[in-house]
Amino acid sequence: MRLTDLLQQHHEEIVGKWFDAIIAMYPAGSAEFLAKQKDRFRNPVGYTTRASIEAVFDEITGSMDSGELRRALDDIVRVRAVQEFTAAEAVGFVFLLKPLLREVFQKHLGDQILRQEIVDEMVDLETRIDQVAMLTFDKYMECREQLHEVRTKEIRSRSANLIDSLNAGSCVSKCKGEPFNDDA
Amino acid sequence: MNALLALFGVAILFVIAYLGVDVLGLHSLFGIVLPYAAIFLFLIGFVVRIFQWAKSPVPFRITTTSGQQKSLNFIKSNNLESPHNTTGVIGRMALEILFFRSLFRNTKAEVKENERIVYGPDKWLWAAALAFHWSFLIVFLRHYRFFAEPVPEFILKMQAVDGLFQVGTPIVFLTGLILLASVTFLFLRRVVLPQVRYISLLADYFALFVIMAIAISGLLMRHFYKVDIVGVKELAMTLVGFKPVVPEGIGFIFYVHLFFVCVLFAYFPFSKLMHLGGVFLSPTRNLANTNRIKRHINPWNYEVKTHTYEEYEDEFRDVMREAGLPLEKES
Amino acid sequence: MSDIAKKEDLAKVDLNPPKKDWMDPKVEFKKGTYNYGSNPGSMKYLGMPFVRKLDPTAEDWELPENWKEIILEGLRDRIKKYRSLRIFMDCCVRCGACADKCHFFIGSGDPKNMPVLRAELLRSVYRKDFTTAGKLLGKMAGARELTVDVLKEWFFYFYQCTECRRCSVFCPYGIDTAEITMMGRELLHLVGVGIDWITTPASNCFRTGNHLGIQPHGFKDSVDFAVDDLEDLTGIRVDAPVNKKGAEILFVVPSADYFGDPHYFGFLGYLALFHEIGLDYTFSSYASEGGNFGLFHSSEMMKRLNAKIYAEAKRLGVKWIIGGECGHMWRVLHQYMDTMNGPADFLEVPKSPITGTTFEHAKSTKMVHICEFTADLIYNNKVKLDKSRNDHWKVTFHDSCNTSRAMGLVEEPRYIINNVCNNFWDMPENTIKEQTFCCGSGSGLGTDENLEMRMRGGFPRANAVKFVHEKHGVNLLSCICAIDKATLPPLMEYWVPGVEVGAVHELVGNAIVMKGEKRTTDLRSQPYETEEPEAEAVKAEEAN
Repeated sequence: MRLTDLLQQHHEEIVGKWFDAIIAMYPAGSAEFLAKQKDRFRNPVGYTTRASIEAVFDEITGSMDSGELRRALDDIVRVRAVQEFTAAEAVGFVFLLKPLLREVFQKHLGDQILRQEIVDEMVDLETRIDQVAMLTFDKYMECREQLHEVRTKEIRSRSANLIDSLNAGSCVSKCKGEPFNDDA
Repeated sequence: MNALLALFGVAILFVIAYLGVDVLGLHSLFGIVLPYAAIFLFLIGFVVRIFQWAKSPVPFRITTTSGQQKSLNFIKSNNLESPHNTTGVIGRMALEILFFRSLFRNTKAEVKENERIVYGPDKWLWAAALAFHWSFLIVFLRHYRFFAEPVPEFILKMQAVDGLFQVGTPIVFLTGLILLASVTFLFLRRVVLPQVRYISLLADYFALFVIMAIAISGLLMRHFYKVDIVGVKELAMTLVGFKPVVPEGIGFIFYVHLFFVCVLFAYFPFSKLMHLGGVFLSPTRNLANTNRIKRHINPWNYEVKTHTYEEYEDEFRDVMREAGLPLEKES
Repeated sequence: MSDIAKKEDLAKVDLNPPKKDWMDPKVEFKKGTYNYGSNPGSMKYLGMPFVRKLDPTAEDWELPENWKEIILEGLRDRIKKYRSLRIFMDCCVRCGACADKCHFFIGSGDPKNMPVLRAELLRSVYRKDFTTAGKLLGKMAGARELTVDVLKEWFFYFYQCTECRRCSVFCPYGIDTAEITMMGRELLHLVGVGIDWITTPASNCFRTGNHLGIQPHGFKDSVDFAVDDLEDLTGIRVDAPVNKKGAEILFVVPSADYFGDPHYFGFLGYLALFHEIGLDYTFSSYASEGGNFGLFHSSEMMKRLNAKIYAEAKRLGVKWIIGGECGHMWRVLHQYMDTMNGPADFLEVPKSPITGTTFEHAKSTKMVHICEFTADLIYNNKVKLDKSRNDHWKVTFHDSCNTSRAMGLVEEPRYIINNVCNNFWDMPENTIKEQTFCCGSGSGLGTDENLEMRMRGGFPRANAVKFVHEKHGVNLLSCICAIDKATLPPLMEYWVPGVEVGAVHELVGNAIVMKGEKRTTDLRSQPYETEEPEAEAVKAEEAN
């Protein structure tokens, strides 16, 4: 039996476990909600996570198309980039897949796991996961940078408005009231 | 942890009843003194609490609107979700109190294969809560048969419907079973859903356990450890007549049942169970959305420091003049 | 092999947060999740106590010595004054129906953002000091001591609530977390703890009449500028009077309408509409803000800021008032203004001079929502509308929290939209109307320092927009709230690129056919969508 067949066969189980492991990173009081509530509008975080890793897994076991991967990763990383995670935690979900896969292989292959072609395939698979991790990191940085852009834009548009208003008034200096933004 | 502590508390209560009745034989204490004390505490506590609530004014009309307001003639308003008159408010409150309208609101959207969204019910909490409260009410009313002779017609009719299936002797009342099942469900829900477990306090479990104990002891008494029903009625009638006599040999399980009922009554006004009264008084629900039609008076409305137009013009007069804005005073 | 697996396990353990009881009040002020403390200058201007520059991350908050007494006394006072608070403190059964209804909980997964728990933060202190059970049983009765850490936790979580009232719709007792948050914030202000994004706008508004601190001449210039812009766009010069005595109607808008982007296009829409129907109205520079950041501060501040509207209506001698597109402004106007600053017996019951409709539903407050006014005009065929001018927009509508859950203004804007554009799709049912999801930035949280928190809170809304964007190609999220218009664009930029945000009256302004107009673009200076030749050809063929 080849590994890819095994992965396809146990697709549901592996993605399910991966999902559970990711959700377990959330606080205990909310993990259950994020895992069990299936309504995509009531539980967008759980829904997005699930849909996203499903697509990522398809790519790992499939063609590793970088465009598709980026698209699939975008959804989950975008969520994690604004949540209460450190950078390592936010992208670390990819690596949760590794021990999980080993567990599955051990369970279903037993001793065969030491056969050379299986080992080769395994190495290949782990390399793929590493590549996904790198893309995830790129994606994470992209999201963080975008957040900073959004923030900068907000601040800039606010001060631009302020300057406009000052320029618009011809007699600002004559105002009696003192502006009170002494140490904003 | 909280659940265990609460269970422990209820177990202690059971032990107290056991020691008191079976070992020490304090039948008068458990049959007469405690019921009177519990009812007394309940009545006083309930009235005091309602009085406390009523004493705090409702300064603002802060209706939570859940539907279209009444505005233009060609736009259909929703008098039950955004009431614009007393009828609407009564309707809204009735839906809330009798059918738990708000809990019913829980829907779940699912996107089907063909990209259509369908809304399915997600109504376990609603169904269980409704089953629990209604069955509890009927069970409570059914007990009136012990306090009246002859037993009023409507109680008998209710019993007849309740025992419709005619199973067992004495006949099994459906509501008793539903009560036990729903209270068990509400408990399990608290333990199983981590989200609800996280918010649950000891008091939440305690109330459920006491009610569970009442239901279990009641069912046991009716179907397994038979008690002297004539004696029970005698005690009940004499309690109501304020000439209480404790007949001999009613049976231990009855005192356990009665004791837990006393605990519930005494505990009631000091606990969240007061939502029985609170639901009627909640300002977001029992006020009509007539804010712009009728002025609502705040009894403690007080003067505040404002920035008057005069002060404003004084500060900005020069720039206002220069901008060509009309002035009240030229200087 | 097994060795490696073990190492991975170690990493995994690190990723799991420790399980903690909610009663442990420690909070971590992480950048991006909290708001900066109030500016001392603004605090002083408003006469607030214990003026200092608060740094939420500091160990020592420099609280007054008797802070605990002040807070508990404040709580006692409010329990006496508000039945809502007393009942909400007493009768929650922790059924959990509200738990997954809060956009901050849904988006962040932080269990303390469940509405029930947000309320328990205050309730636990209430139990400790105001209930018999709490006094006797302490922690067993869910009571806890008020400590500095509890206070910090209040600050953290009461400024992670947008007072949107969504939870209140689902609560069997109507427990309204907004009410609890408002009380919590009032208590914090008693010891000089507040956030600057609320305090400074409030003090600006108090002084100059609007949040931005625009002085009278600046306001006049803004309005004149809009008049010039509209002339460039349509070839028509409209009249937009400011502080005109004896006008029939006073028109009050949120200040962002004449200053912010994309609010401004809605402002142009108002000007075009009023000109076309020949309305006799005036703006006021003194009451140049309908939005009321006092609502997010304290009931007293709300009253102080709101007082200007009636005072100005009286001074100018108008007959009644129209209010522009704004969410929290309408919460104040609808539910508080008449009670606080009324009675408005010097005004007349609003009657549209164009259609003759009497707005009976506003007969006491005498203030009508612009959407009610416009819907009535459209119904009575008083304006000529060309829907096709909005064909470049595929529109959805975001109900703002306050107009839907504190007013019930749900169908008026939809009626207008359906009459001014051809492509309208509502978002899924459990994300709109009374169940609408907040933008995640309301109640004074719409600033840049807590952007990450805003993105979390806005995710449920964005997620629903994404759905209609992908399904129907929706490219315009229309709304009637100034905070939405300011904070939904960044939300869309991050979550659903390709969706713009706009005012309902921008769509009206596009569609309205003005007498003598010369226009080729919409109010954003974008050319109207002309039908593609191919499509025309197909139509022609079909006709044959």
